[in-house]
Amino acid sequence: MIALWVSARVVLFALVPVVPVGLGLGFVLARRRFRGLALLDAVVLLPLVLPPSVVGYGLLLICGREGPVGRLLERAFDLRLVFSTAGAALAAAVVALPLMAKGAEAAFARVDVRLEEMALVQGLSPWRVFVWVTLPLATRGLSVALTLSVLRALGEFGATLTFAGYVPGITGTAPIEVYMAYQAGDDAGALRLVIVLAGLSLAAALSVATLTRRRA
Amino acid sequence: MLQKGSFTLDVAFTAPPGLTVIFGPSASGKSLTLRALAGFEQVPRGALILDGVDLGATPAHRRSVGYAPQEGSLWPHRRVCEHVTPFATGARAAELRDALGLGPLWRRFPQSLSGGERQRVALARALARGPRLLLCDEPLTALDLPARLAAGAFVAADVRRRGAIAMWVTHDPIEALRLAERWVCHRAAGAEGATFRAREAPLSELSALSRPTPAR
Repeated sequence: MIALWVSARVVLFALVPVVPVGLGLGFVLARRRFRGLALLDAVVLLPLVLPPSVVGYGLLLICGREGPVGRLLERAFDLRLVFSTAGAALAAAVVALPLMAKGAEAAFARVDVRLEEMALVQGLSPWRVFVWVTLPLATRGLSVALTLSVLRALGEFGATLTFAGYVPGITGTAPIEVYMAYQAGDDAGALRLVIVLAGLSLAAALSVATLTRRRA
Repeated sequence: MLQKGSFTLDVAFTAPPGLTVIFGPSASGKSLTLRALAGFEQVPRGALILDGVDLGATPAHRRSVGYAPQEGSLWPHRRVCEHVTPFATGARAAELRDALGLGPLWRRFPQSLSGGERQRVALARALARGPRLLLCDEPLTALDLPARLAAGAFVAADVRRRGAIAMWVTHDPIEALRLAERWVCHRAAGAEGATFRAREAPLSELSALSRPTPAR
């Protein structure tokens, strides 16, 4: 059951970049018009449509011990992502980001631009308009986006295994331990984790379904 | 010169302190003129001068502008009082509340208001800061004529007392004639039907428009 503790840590660490970056990307995709917007949109979506093993391999190329970012991190901060919880969190963040960004885009797009204009003309700065009008009117869509990206981070398997590897108690998240327990013939251990993961996912999926169905 | 798609609007007028009515057929760019003054639309060629300063270089939230749109565009998650008090001193908020009859609505949410009530709240919000330039886009269409004239007279008196400028869009000649100190007329220019010109016109022309047309 240490795997659940590892998973909780991985998800929480993953949310640290996913929430602000996802909100920012979602707002830009929903509100700004510029050349290259379609390209940005496609890049944001990429980790969702790529096979997770490809995402993990890509992370190894960039952030692995031989990759440019990986070498920089190791030299400057003595930080190694491979075989570490931070690495597992990075893999989870990369695959969860598209759901946060695209969900936030849909939530922001549903907010009437005229309501933002009215706040702007009343002298509120663009940042305060975002906090005072846009954010509160998008809360329901944003909580759906957050729930879906947490679920995706929690369920991450392929990219984590490829990039961060398997170290029990460090990168051994619940989905990975299910696979490992099954491989080792520990059917009872696998089933215990399967029940917990299925229960958590069902509860989250139900809350998303309720939120999207409820009308203003 | 304002442009939106194939629509071209050529605007040239000077509005002194007091209330200027903007009059013209529907789809003749009256709202576009106001939106440009508020800073919601780009002005590709020309200048918007307020108190000797070109507004073109000033972002919308730094202009001293109030905007009351026809549809109200109230913030659905804020009470009526929260549309006025954040932008006004206590005395100013109380003055607007009483003059526009918002007392009984003060703690309510926009959802529970009628169309006319929403328009009065939008007008109070636009007036709250005591802006140098007040833009009213058919602000009282949901009220009957006497109520419209009473509210309009209050706005005109408020603007005159502060030495500010109000631009009042209407397509009702009686309302226009009763409120206007000056008026600007949007007229078709050119055969295309997508080019309009906005110029100041003599008040006598407006009074001719407001005379009932004899039945044939």
